[in-house]
Amino acid sequence: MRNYTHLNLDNTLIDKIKSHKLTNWLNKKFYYYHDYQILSYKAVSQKKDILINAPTGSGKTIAALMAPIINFDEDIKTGSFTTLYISPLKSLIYDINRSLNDCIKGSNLNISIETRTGDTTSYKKQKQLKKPPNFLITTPESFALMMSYENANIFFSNIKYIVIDELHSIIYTKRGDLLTLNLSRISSFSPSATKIALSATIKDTKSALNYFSNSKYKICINPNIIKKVSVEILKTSNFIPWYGHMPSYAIENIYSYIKKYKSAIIFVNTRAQSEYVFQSLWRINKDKLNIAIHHGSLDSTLRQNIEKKMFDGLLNCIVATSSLELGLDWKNVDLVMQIGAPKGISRIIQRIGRSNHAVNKVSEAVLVPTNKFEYLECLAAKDVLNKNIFEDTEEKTGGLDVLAQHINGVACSVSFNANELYQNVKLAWPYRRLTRKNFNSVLNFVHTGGYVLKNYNLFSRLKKSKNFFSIANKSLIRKYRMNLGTIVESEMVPVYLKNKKLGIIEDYFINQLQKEDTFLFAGQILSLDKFTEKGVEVKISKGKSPKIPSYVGGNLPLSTYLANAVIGLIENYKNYNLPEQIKHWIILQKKQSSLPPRNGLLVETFIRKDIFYIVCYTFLGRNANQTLGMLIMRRLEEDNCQPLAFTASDYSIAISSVKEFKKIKQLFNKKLLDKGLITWLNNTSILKKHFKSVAIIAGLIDRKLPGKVKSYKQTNFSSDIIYDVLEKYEKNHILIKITKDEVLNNLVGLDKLTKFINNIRYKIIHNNLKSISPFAVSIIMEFYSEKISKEKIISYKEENIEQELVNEAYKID
Amino acid sequence: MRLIKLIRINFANNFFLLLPDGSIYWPINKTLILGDLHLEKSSFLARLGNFLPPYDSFETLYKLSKTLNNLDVNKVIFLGDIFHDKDGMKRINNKLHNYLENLCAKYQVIWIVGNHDGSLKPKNAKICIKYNIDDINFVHKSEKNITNEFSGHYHPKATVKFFKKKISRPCFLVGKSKIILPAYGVFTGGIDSSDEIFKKVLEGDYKGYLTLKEKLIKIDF
Repeated sequence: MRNYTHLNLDNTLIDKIKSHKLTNWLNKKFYYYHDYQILSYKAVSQKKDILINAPTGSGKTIAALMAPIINFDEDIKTGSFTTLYISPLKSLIYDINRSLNDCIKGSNLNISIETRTGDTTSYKKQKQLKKPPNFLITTPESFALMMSYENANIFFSNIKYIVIDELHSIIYTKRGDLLTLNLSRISSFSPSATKIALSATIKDTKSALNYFSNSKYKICINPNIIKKVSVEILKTSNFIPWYGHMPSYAIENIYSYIKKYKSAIIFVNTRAQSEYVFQSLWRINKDKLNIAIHHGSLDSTLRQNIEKKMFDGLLNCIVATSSLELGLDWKNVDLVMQIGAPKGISRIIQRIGRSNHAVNKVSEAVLVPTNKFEYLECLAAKDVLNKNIFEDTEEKTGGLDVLAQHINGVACSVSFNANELYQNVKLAWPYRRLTRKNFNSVLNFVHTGGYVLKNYNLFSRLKKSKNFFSIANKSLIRKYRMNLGTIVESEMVPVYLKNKKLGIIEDYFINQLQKEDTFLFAGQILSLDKFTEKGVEVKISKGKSPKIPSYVGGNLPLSTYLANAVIGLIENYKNYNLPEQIKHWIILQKKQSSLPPRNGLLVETFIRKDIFYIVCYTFLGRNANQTLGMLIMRRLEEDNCQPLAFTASDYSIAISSVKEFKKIKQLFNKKLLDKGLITWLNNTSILKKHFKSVAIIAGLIDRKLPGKVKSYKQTNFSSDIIYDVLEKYEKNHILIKITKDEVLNNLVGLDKLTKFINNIRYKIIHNNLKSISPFAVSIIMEFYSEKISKEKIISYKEENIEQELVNEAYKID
Repeated sequence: MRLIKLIRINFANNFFLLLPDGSIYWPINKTLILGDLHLEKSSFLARLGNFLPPYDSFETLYKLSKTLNNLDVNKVIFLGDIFHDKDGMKRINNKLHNYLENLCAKYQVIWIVGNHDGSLKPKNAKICIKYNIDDINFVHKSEKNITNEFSGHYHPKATVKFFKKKISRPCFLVGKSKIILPAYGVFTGGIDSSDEIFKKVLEGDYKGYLTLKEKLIKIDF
């Protein structure tokens, strides 16, 4: 063992570590503890909650498990179930199980380890409840489920350590909120449990520490390990497209990269991209490389199979969505490619960290932009990465729909006192400011639905005696467990090929297809055969131009930090070694219009073929831009300018109208937001869409389980109708309130927009142009492409329009 | 009154009007034909632990009263599943119960019993399993080899794309000799009109008429 005298530690502590079998085994493998691991052990042994904030591959798992393993002999005296390990990703659970088992066996220790997820058989689950293992590895959802058991307080009473892995991936999300509520509850009956959270790249460690721990004694351990990364942007002589999100121009380049490396992961932003890239690579796969695909819609056995092959080093390349982002430890991976814009710094760090996972090796990554603006975003990201800057995490208050689910879960487990539960909920950091009034509304909703008409008092979900509540009957417990969780996906239908389940696909996509229509799924071209009770049956197809599922949920908003970095880059473009086509594009933009200013707003107006266009370079991200686009449309309508349509990207918005709108400088004021927003929202599907997920999480309507949909069709009805009726008769219902609050603050970016409008009001550059500008080509093309593919109302082809627009922008006759 | 666009169809040698609220008016007999109402569905689901807004019966009957007030009606034919379950009528609140009783007194009401209905019925309605008048048949669930037939049961709905939005709404299905009405109740799901089952039930090709707030849209399959 190394010398740790500089840490000034107690000798008995050092001796205890030194003499342990684990240490011997690690040393034999030439692994020596880092200082921070020793310090983590010390803090945990002193019963302090800790947050270990370090990049992936720096040995956090060992740091977290030192205390549970080294102190095991004493811990076990008061109860055999000592450690609960919670990880947000299923595939990670198997990974940790594997390496932990190696470690225990190698050190010749007698510690039993088991996993528990949705895939665990009910026989095994029952057995675990009767005789729990020493260490249990599980997901936040399975943990919540266990907390709803009648004897949860006894089951967890002697727990010594709770490890929360990958905290950064769930912090300030509804999944995280549910976890904090359960952690708060568990600390009421196992006060001696010490919490150990592991996280990568969190800037605000104080907030992160508070998020999972309400203990007085807690510290953050920063190992100050910096993972070296080497990032480049794909070099290509091909033309980088104006718009779109498919890397068709770069497939050959991508292929030659993966040929050069042992094993590569290609990360994409959407499932549609993953299917496209996978297909395109196989089409040119002359060297018969082993290329696989991995995304969340694939069947779990397929996925596990691929993961195992990757682990065993049998694959050259794997095309993956965020389903592979988190800490899997694959030693073989030596290259990461990112297709499309990174969208946020934390995310890209996480992805790049997959290559050369060990902390002392350099992670190699190649970014592949799919259009010109994405090129700038990739470059800005590269810049930030080299400077080792982390993004802020935005604090959010805990979801009240999640609270409803939690209250229901507590009721399944015990008879609770409302005052005590309220106090306990407030101990969870995201709920620290919860008012009693809101708590009561949520409780009331769980109890009888919370309607003004007391229609449902006869059927109440909870039994009430004095101020104590418990679940009314056993069937409600089953119902709660079926519906547990905070992830609401769109409705999914299972896909079967000759009785073999390939995975699940979005209901709305598959319903658009006719028999024999082809589509890409699980890396194959399939044709629709028929719908059955089980799901949809497909055949292998030889069709050449399959439709691609346009999966929802892939549109991650651009982070504010990165958006600012892009603007900064454009401003200082001269300091960068840009490819000729990008440089030319920026220079021409500067010459013909202006570059988007920092802390200001560039607005361009021009007339093209008798139609008036307004283009605003807001860099606000898609969600906020969409809202702004809608509001501007309304404003134009009020001024009788006859607006036609608008389109929004992460970077800009374009609005077209029949008549010219002349008061550009007065367009962006507070009035735009105050008056229009709520009226507009009520006329969109955003509220209804969000209401559905709130209603499912809160337990108003049931989750639809894939495959069980068909036979229920007549009794299932759209949540839109429920929303309409509720909005008509009981506007102040708690679920309507939750929906509106969340939509305003999170989805339409009201906060962001208000700040934006206050900032730019007096700094608007308005350029009235004779023709389209080079920067505007991208957004105007999005405009046309949407119309062409979705409405088929324009007779001429996309390429022609593109060429025309470019000619106009570049002044080519 | 706002102008509502109706669709006139010729079926079994008679003229009928399809209304955007999901009902059918038969002018010559001054008759209103209604698909499944599923009253008290929300209170049924509340027993199972889902607390849907308890306003569905009110909303459905309010919709019906508006239609009745705007038309010259003598007879109302309910095509079954008027209540969602057999105890529904016991649960409905007094005001709405009285409204239903008054309706049966004011109009000649044909109350066809569906698979969901219980034994409790309003006093003045004519209760039956099927009904026939002027060679036209009314049943809850379509039967084989019967022509000139109106039925409910399946709750057909259809989806249309409106700009970028998808709208899914109840839908009339009109075959050569059979018509299936959409569910009339507000809290009712449905089977998509392109489902294979409808070709079988309607014994051949059919057209659809999607109900929007104030108009109908024709759909070909």
